[in-house]
Amino acid sequence: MAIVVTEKCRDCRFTECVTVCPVSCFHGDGRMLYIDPAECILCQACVPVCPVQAIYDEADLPPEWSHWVTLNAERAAGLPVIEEKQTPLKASA
Amino acid sequence: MNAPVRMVSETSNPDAALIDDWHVVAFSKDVPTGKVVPATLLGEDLILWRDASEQVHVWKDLCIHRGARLSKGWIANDTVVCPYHGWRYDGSAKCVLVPAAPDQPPPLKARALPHRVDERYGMVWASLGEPKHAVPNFPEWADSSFRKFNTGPYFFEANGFRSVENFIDATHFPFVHGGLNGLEDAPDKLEDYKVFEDESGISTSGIRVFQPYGDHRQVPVNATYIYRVFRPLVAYFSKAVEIADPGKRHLGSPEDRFCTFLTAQPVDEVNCIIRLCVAINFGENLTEQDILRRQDKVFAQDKDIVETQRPERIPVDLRAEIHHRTDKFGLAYRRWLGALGLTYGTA
Repeated sequence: MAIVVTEKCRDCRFTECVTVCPVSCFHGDGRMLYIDPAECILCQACVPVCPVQAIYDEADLPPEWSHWVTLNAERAAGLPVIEEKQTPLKASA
Repeated sequence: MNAPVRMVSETSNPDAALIDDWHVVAFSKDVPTGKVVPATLLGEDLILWRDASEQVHVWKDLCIHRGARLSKGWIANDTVVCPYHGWRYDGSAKCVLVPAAPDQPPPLKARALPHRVDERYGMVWASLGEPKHAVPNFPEWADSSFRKFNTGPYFFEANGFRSVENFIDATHFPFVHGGLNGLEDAPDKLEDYKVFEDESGISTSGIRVFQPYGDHRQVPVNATYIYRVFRPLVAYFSKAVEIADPGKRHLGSPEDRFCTFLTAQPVDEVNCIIRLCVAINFGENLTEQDILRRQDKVFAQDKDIVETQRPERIPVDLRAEIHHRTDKFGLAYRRWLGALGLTYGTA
């Protein structure tokens, strides 16, 4: 079981999620965010605040996006923690 | 308060991190000379007594002769007298008299079982092992501009860690302490705050809340809390209090602080005794009764809610229960407890 950020975040990156995360488990690059499954406590606080619904509980993940579970784990490990709100990459949702 | 003696098969052994730490077991004023005072720490029954030179002793509540409780005994000639055969133990824990053989020196093996002891902040501290840390420093203790008051003891039929977590929680005020530390119909929106960790424990940046009766003056104040946890069962806050009414603000000072140093005596995994030392640098006209009245009320309210929490033992698996961003400090506390390897009192 994991909470995962999916491709809807790419080049969008509103980062509302990082302002509600109690454990700072979001990592990011210049384009999108990823959740570190080792730090995430599965509280799901981030799921409803994402303006583009890019974050899913693994149980609700559309099958075509199942590879995002592994992607989040792999990419989060090599990227810095994002704790503060960033300027969104898209002007509107 | 002595818990029933546990059989070996029932023991849940306290972790080394708790054994090798200091815990408050009494207020100094409650251990006068001439009295044997019982206490229980981490499931172990103890006695406290103060000798004629004012030194406090903390011993296992056991006479090694036949296993009777020394807490049923009394003080005579500056020794503890076992209530069973009258053996007497002096301040060095040595048996100095076996009444059935008064002419012989008592066996060298006849000794009480002492623990380490210290007295700080009007409190008696004991350790069942070898303390790895000093007794935490209460910053305002040595500052003569603060008056200090010991309040409590408050007997919580609740886990010590749950009780400490409640103390460092700024979002329960409007509901548990409505009309005192918050307003139920107008709860504060909590601004984000920072959490820090260093070798002396974990702490927060300032957390601001409105309090209708936030200190003992009974006037509405804007309060800014800085919390700190020194040890698993020793916590503290420094609260800056600003009179909320701008027209009356000049009656206070920007330096006004109300600080509380809290200790939880872990009687066992699911019972604790809270003792406080409160430090206040304003309100010279406030009496000890004014201070006690408010403290007693606040901690009675906390007791009522903390005793209902289930599971009784605090979960240190962060995926148990649910944590909100505003619980950041409680979450840091649980993570810190988990990192100390605590299993006793945790779920």
